[in-house]
Amino acid sequence: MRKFIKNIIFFSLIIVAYLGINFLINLYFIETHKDKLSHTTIVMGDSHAQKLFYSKLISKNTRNIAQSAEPYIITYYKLKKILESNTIDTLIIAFCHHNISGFNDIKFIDKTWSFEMMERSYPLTGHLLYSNEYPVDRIGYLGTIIEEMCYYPHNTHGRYIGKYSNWNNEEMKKDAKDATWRHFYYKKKNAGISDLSVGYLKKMVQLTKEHNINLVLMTPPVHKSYFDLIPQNFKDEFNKLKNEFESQEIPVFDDSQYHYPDTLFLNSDHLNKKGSKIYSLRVRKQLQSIQ
Amino acid sequence: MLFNSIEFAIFLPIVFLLYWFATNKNLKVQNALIVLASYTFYGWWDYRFLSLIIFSSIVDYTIGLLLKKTSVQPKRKLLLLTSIIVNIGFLGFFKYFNFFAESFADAFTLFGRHVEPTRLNIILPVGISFYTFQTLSYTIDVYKKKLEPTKDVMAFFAFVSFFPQLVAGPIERATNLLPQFYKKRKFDFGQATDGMRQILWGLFKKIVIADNAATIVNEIFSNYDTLPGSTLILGAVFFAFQIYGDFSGYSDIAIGTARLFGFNLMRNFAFPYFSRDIAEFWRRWHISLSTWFRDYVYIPLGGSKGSIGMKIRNTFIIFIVSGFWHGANWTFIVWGGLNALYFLPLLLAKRNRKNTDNPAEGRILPTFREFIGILSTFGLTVLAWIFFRAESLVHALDYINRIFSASFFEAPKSIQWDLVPALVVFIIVEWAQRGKQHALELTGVKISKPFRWAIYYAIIIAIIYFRGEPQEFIYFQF
Repeated sequence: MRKFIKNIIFFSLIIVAYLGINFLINLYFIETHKDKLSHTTIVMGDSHAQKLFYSKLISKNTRNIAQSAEPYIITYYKLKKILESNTIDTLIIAFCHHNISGFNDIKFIDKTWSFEMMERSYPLTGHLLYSNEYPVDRIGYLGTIIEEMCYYPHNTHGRYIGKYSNWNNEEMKKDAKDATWRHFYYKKKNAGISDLSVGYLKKMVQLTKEHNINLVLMTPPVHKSYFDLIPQNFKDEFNKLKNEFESQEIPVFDDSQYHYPDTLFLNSDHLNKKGSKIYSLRVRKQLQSIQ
Repeated sequence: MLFNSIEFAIFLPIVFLLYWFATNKNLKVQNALIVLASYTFYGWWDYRFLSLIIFSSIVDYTIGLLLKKTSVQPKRKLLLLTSIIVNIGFLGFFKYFNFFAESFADAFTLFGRHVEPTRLNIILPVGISFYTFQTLSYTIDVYKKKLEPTKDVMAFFAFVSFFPQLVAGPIERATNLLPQFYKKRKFDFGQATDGMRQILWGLFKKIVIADNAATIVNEIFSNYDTLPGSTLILGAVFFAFQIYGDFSGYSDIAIGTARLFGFNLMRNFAFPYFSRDIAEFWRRWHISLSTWFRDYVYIPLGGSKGSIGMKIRNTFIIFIVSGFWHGANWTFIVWGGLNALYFLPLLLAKRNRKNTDNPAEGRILPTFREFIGILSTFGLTVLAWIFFRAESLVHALDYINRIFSASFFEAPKSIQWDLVPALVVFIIVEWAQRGKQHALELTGVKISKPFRWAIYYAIIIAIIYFRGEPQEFIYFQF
């Protein structure tokens, strides 16, 4: 038995050393990595920002780095990372009802989302593995970090910089019930307000103040069938936050109920490519109005 | 908990250390640890279904004791029947209810009456087909007086739930596994190191061969209607490697893990794709299930004795039941029936036990005749696998129809050829080691330690660099 354990330990030590060296090399790559954006207006958020803000139509200095399903915790750490090596003049953050829903709190736990979130953001949120900042599937995250950091040295860590992406469709996907169930309910119960998401949004507000960035919160349009199914507690909290931000002189453009015909919708909560182009021109005017 | 998961990588050393250092002085405590570890292993997936395993264990343990107490034959039969009804009842309810409900509804439709079937919205408890067969083997053997019923409740519960083979086999016989829980296990260095090698090879088969093949196979089977016949045939060949790598990989990890704890599980795969005829294939593929059906279904039915009609009937019964065991779908039944058709000519011509030795015994390469036998057996198996993999009979038949079309001669599309070198190495290693229990068995081979370790590290590096997109073990769904 002693010989077996000695052999296993010695054999494993070589593997651990191999993995450890790769980890250190990759850590060095992550620490020294800089996200050079060369744009002064940045759009951040989840699919609502990714699909709706066609940056080229907003201004030539605008870049959309939003990613689908991105919770505010990732947006916050992404912003922090970007500010290390970029000077931003204006920051647009998509601020929608579902962004403050408790369903965001399960993005690092529920397998539907967690692996994608971890794989995308481990250079930014790797510390969640040992902190109690956010609910995390620690074993799953450990696996992701071992896989991404320890197997071999590489300089392509994380996939947290997104871009505008949308397409046209023949007919709007009428999925309001499914979409609202996904966004506002968890295990068949109202998901409640996510204090964590609200907290990260407020942290982003603070961060933009510290860096003298003009923050603009934008609520892109959703289909009436979707809006009507948003539970009241989310509407109330959204309005409360909206008033709070406006009182701090942060512009909030709430277009959630702005009417667009069905032909411009991809599904109940996103405009399609054609719709996004029209909406982006509206955003352009809105931005001009505050400059 | 999956064998190829980080959870298992943490779980296994903890259980190993507790087993050999904290509980090794008391057999009952050691068995209790196995039960606890096994329930943790299973409950990691879904703790609610633990109640099924516990209930099944209680029923068969009690029936075993009652069988010993009575010698009245009708009463003994009733006890056996109770065990069969409970175990097959669970299996039938969770696995086959929807299939039968839908099939009856379809049958009514044939007679012009539309019936809306009642469907159950339930998930299949992982491993139910495996552990119900294992507990049944206990009751049947006790009934047949081949085995003394146990009074040791902890040993029995450990036998039913033994975590290395709980969810995907090998399906152990009570006569082989249960007595191993009665006696103190001794750590054996040779057995443990060979177990580790078997685990390593199992992981290679699963992560490199099966998972990579799965990506190609899924792509081809999903888009079969747009691909040429040449691609479809390759898709079926890759599936043959996927299912072999996946299932035999799982068995290797299970057997290797059990050996770390001083247990010997039965062999489940014996390099089946080197078989020279279908009968040999079925002696080498999923051995624990084939022999279970042979001993508990085929032989009681009369086996290969009796008239030609009886032989045909028994062969079809065993293969179709075996197919149906895999899943509640007509595709599995046809897969079983097709294998029966392959097997029957050999049985009727009394050539089914012709190839009982290892292929190319004592030689490096097979003879031309053996090579043709291996190739044709593999071809027949691949054809049958199409039914096994397809979503429905229509899917399978259309897939086959498209293979044998003019597009067969077109260049294959959508194939990731990078798996091919790994497959070639894999086949060479397996061929070279075909006389051994597993492909990494080094008994009788003198290799210096640095060279041996270099081989292990090379396999680990291959697993890291050539790993496929993680897929669940196929046999979990059975």
